[in-house]
Amino acid sequence: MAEIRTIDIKEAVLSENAGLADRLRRRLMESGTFLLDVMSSPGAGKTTLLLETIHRLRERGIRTAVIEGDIESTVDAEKMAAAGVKAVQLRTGGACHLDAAMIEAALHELAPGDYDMIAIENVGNLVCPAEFDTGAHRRTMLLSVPEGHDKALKYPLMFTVVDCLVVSKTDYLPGSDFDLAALRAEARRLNPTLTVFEVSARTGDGMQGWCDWVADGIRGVADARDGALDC
Amino acid sequence: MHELPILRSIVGVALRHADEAGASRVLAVDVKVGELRGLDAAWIQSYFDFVTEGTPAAGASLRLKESKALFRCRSCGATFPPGPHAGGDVACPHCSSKHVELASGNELLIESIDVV
Repeated sequence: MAEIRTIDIKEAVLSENAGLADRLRRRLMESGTFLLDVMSSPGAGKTTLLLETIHRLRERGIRTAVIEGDIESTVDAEKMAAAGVKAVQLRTGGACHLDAAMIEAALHELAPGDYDMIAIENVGNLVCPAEFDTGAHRRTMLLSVPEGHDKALKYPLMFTVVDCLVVSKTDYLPGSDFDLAALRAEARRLNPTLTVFEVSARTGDGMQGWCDWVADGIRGVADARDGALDC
Repeated sequence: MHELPILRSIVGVALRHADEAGASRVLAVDVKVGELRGLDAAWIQSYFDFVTEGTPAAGASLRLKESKALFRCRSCGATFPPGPHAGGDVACPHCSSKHVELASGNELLIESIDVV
């Protein structure tokens, strides 16, 4: 009888996806294109926030394209196109998240050098997208006021992997029992360096700070490219 | 649904290492899972059985070792569990520094495999 051997591995799960994501991140850095991953549950307002953000960034001379991830339909890409925004629709056909390979495929449809930013509108889901690095330079999640403030307790991984939390639909705050302080405390408990914005894309409240944060990310990638070229 | 690609990745890595070691069968796979991952052990096992079917890892046991969430203080190096934090910011219970980072609880790592 053959002897049982134990082989030490110490390899991260999904390391193949992580490796591809790192390569995409570097490639986009070299073309000076900031990749932003936007995640939330369905209906938190990703499309509306992105449209308003792109509109405001355009006034600052920033060119944006969007990768739309949906299980089915091209509704969001059509909304983007109607607003004059270049959009690539990824239909996952049942999969609950986007991964680096899907983003790589979508990038074939775009000339990254033509854009200062490519925003990924991930599949509406607070669980699965957290597991898959898409190659984004920064990851953002939205949590809308109607969803309630207790979501950090229910979806802890998402709160630990993002750089920024946008509390959206703050125009619903009056009359609601949404506890912003409790959400901030719980989110920072999981992610002490998390940046938090409170935004209503409908009224424009808070949009300035959020757009500054996005513009800062775009500048960071452009500076990194220029720094690399100087070497 | 994200359990399936995760399990495919786990099984793929295990089979690759088993093959490289010239092993004919995988008997067990040890995986470290951070509690923040929110992976359900019962689901994971059934996905594992499904993904390993017809492979040298068929019938292997999947052993999950959960790691607890811990913060590390970047000022004094102390580690401490997340607790109720009144003010909203996490601070080190030893030196009160707010420069803290997540030290564990987020892992998803294949530690080792048992093979013959």
